[in-house]
Amino acid sequence: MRCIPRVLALHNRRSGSPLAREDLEDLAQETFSTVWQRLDEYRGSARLETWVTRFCLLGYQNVLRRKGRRPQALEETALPDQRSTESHPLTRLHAALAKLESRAARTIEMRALDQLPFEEIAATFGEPVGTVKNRYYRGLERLRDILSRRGGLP
Amino acid sequence: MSEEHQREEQLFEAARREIAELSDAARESGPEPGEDALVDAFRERVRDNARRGRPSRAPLWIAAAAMLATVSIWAIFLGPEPGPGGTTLGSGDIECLAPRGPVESFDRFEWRSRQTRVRYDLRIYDTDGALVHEEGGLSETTWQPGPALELPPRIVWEVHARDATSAVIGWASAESSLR
Repeated sequence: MRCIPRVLALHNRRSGSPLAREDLEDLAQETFSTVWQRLDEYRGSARLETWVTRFCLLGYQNVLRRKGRRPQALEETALPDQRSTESHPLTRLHAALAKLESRAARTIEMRALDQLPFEEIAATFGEPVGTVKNRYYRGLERLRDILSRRGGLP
Repeated sequence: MSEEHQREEQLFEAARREIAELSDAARESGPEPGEDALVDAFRERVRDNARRGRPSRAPLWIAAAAMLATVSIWAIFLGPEPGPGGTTLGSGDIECLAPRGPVESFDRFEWRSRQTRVRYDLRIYDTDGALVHEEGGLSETTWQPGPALELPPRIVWEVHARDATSAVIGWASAESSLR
């Protein structure tokens, strides 16, 4: 769990430090809580730290959004070797996933990011594998539309 | 693999790389200021959750969780409306009441929430997961669509509760179809 404050601090520095230390502390607490609530979804396919890092980055993006920080403002303050959060692939992906129905978004996260087999995702949701596959492929179609409209695909 | 799928997979792969790279870098970095305090706070939260009977894999906690569930069911269905202090975070705080299952019309959306001082976002999707309609910042636990709104015959709808900082603190989802 020590990785949470480290990931947040490191990501913040790389993004031009738009969040103050107290913001990061609050966010670390929130992330602890999120991880705790979703621990049943961790299936051991990746290192726990890697799985947790995803929640750190999602939470970080949410805080920036709540604070109304615009990517342009970040770019103005960032050092040359620092990237704005907008340029992060995961940020674009999270923004698009937020437009999907929650179960579809979670299914895509678990399949595409955690690379879990459909059987394990189905076990997590307590649903038949066919239902999960259906939702995943339909969700991908929707995701593609959203990303295309946003110019989000590379 | 089609070109479209390749582009999507490239984005997923880039996102996975980003996560792995940051995770590795954080692992190699030294302690952050205040890290110990945060970890201590987390441990305290774990202890709090255990005391409140949060479900756990530890056998001793199962009995406590069952007792809490019994009390919670009583509190939700039989007991008085709980105050803000009695609430817990998570999707269990909201329940979609209507429409659910086969209905005559989608004339009224209603949900029950144990959260107070929150705003609700209502989202309605078709069965392909496409967003059909969205209402944000609702203060009541009901919403009636206007006559001009056309909804598909089968829908999935979600309610997200947001606190004063706009953070999502609970959500619920239900499916319904026209008879």
